[in-house]
Amino acid sequence: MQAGTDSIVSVDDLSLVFPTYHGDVRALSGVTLDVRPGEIVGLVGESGSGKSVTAMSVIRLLPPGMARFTGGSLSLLGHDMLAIGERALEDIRGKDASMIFQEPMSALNPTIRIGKQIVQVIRQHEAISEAEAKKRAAALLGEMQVPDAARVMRNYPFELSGGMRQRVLIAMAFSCNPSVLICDEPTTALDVTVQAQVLALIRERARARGTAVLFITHDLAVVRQLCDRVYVMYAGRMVEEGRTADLLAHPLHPYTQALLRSLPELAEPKQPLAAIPGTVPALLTEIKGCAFRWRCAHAVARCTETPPFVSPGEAGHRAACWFAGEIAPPTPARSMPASVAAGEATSEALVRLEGVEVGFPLGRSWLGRPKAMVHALNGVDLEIRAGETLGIVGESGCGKSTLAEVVMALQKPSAGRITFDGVDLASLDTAALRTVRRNFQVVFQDPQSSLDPRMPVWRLITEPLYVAGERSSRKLKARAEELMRQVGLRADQIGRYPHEFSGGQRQRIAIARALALHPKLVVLDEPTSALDVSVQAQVLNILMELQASLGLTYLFISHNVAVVRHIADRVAVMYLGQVVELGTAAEVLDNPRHPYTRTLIGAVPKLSADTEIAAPAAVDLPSNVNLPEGCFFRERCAFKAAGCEKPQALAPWQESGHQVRCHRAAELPGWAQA
Amino acid sequence: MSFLSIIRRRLIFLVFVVFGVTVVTFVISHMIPGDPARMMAGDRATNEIVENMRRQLGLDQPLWRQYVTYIGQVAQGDFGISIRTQRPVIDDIKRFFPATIELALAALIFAVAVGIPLGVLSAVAKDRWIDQISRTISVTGISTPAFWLGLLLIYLFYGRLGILPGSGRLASGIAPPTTITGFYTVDSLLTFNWPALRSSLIHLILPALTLGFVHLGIVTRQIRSAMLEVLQEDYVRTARASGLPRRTVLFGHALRNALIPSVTMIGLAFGDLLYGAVLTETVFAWPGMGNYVVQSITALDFPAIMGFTVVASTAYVLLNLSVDLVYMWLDPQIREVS
Repeated sequence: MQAGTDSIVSVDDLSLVFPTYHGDVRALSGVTLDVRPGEIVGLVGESGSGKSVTAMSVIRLLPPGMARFTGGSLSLLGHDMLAIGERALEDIRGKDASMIFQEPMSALNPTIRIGKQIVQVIRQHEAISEAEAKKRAAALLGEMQVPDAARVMRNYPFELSGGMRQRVLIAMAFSCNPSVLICDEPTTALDVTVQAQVLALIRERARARGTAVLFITHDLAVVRQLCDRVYVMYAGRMVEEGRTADLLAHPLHPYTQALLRSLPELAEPKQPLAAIPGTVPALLTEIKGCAFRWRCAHAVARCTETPPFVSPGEAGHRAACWFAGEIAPPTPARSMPASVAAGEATSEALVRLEGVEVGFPLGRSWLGRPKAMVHALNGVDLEIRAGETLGIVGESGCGKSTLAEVVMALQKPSAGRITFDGVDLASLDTAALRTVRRNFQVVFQDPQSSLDPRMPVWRLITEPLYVAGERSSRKLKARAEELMRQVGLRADQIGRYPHEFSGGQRQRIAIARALALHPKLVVLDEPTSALDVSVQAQVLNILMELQASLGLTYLFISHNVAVVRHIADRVAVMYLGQVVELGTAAEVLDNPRHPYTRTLIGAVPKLSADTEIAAPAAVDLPSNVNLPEGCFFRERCAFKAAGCEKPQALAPWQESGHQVRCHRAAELPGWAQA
Repeated sequence: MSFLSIIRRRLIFLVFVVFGVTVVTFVISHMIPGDPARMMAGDRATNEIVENMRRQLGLDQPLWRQYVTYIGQVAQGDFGISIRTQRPVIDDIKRFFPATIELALAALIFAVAVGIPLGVLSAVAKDRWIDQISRTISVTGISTPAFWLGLLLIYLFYGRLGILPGSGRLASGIAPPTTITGFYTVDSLLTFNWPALRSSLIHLILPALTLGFVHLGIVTRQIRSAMLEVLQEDYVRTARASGLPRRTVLFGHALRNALIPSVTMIGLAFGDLLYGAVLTETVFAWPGMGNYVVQSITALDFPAIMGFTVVASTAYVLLNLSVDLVYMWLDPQIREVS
């Protein structure tokens, strides 16, 4: 237990298995990690890498029957965490080490008031009175920038937004002054402006209180902004460790290098991304040697022997690779030769929206009249041009998904006009509408839930054809095979079921299904958000190839600015049901002119920049039930001036096609972002 | 929405329910073949006597006028005179209804008081011996016919062991307590009548066990599966990660949430218990509503049938109201939304 006596958390050669029906899953194989006082340590990896298991193990949170430690040691503040009993663990959890999780929406008990949940934790660990605990809870909420803490104490979780709930959870985690705070993807479910606030909060509070942080994430840019040191995990092993700046600038391990290369941030827009071929190995059998060798471009015979975790250069920067320090780090992808994309966008409008509004009734009086309206779309003028990729960017609640539904004729607008190929959708009867809808197909975010698990793949892919009247199994199967090949899957696997495929493969199946009817427009609703970056790269590549070969038009909805910048020709930024900025991807995202777009892009963590992320003030989105007067962004805007109280129109900025819904667009200072 | 406005809203709703129920039963009772006037007058009555009887009962009036008269009386708590017993229906209801409710409540309390802890235990010790036992109990409960279980219990505890009474609400030597609520247990408690309290309690045991056993099985099962689900929730993990002791996590955090889906089911169970009581009452010679209604139906005793229907549906609405109130108390979000 003396390994790293000055460490708060010391994990040494830890191994852990999950006993399952099929055998033991080797979730952790010899993981070593240290967290020292006051430092912020990142733990990065893709799904299944074991990063969350490691984090949960630190405070022994995995249910006893679920996991079994098979070797190594684990100590926290000198306690032998593997030997300690449940009662002693209860005293450590929440007091010496506390933890926050990914989903703030579900991490608070829905039936207990916020104040009571915090007070309960404080009084569990400290002998103080109810009144004192309440006072401290309110002070903590204030410290976490929760406005009106006294009211929030009396609120139930459902009355707060996701960002506010995460603040509450952070307050709870800090309530007994822990020595270490473990964060498991705490911002992944949040919008980027809220993420920026929460990250800034964790950093500041941890620094101010001298709390060490173990921060688990899949997002290398977040690590860059937040962490002093970082560990990279792959297939239950530690593959690389080092100071953040070193590790990201000069990655030693081929996996880390490949991971960085697959990021769209670092690639030339519209160019194929360097995806990592293959998938993570199954952990049911023991892997001898390097677990990455099957996907590694540098693998040789020696890689079947377990590589040492060594440091070739700077102390503290080490990697588990025989060739650590010998393999050149990735060439900066920006310098890749730019070739012209095959599919050429025309200026001809495929879909045109004019003044489209959508309102949803909120509750009804006994006469059936809506009590209030949720204004999802508030006057959207937009055209989707044949052959282009139009990216839609915005935070939750901005109307992105409603826009997609309207475009696909699944939702009738309450006002305005939508034309497809010049035909007004409102003029069509049900049968004609059904025929027109074949031109629109959609790919959803989560292929895990968007594919029926009880259908074989060929049925799934050709279901649209079946619905359209094709009943011959032979013809359907033939088409399924063709589509499988198009999306880069093996045609002989059409008899399999969705669970037999990986997440990325499932998303390809979803894409194949969307293509079955030869659509003109494919709506991609966050198609890569549920995927790991290396897989995201594969899916984005496929999408770009298909667009070029089939002449498809994409409506690409995403909250991920980097992905949109990479794939989109034009971009529309949405805020509260309006398009606030529209133009080419380069115009809008590299030189934003609307204050909201600037806030949004400013909040995105950058891999390259050394600047710390700007944290916008903690404000919730204005209500889309009672719309604000004038400019919707006015209350949050740093450039507010006279004239903002009037409704703003989407107007061209200078002479280009770059349009901005802000009367001060020309007056804003130039945009300088590294 | 506040508790009060929910209550007010439901009470207004109750008026419509009673109106609907009375209209339907009224119409049905007049469409069913059978002439109450002739039945009351007897087989050998002359047509003239029957006609007189009909006039006396108001049966010669047009249907809507009969209904208006009837509803006016109902509003004053007068359900007419029972054809069969020749007593005011309301008196019969006052006498028999509390007995049934008392039995059903006792059965429900048994089912809930045993079922909830058993369900929680079962979920926590999933697949261990205690879970196996509780699952056996719940399957047995769900699949055992009440009359058979009743007879078995009587044979065992009354016939063989002789430690519990097998029929009635009180031992023969004991006078019923002064009527306040009509529940013997409550009334004897309120009047400090200890012998009556003791006797009424031990008379309740076997019928309540019999009637409640099915629901014990259902409640246990429901709570077990709800708990298993809730224990997977993120907020349970948060509570564990904050170092809250197991007991607090289970009962302070998980159970309350697990109860939310169970409340509706328990409410429905009470409705079931009222039906089920008919059978149990017969087995245990329990002087409740069940026997009374069955006999009234065979005798085409419409005033009694309608009186019972109105009272039963009112009880149902009030029951649903209390389920909703418990629901609101458990789930703050429903308080906002409904």
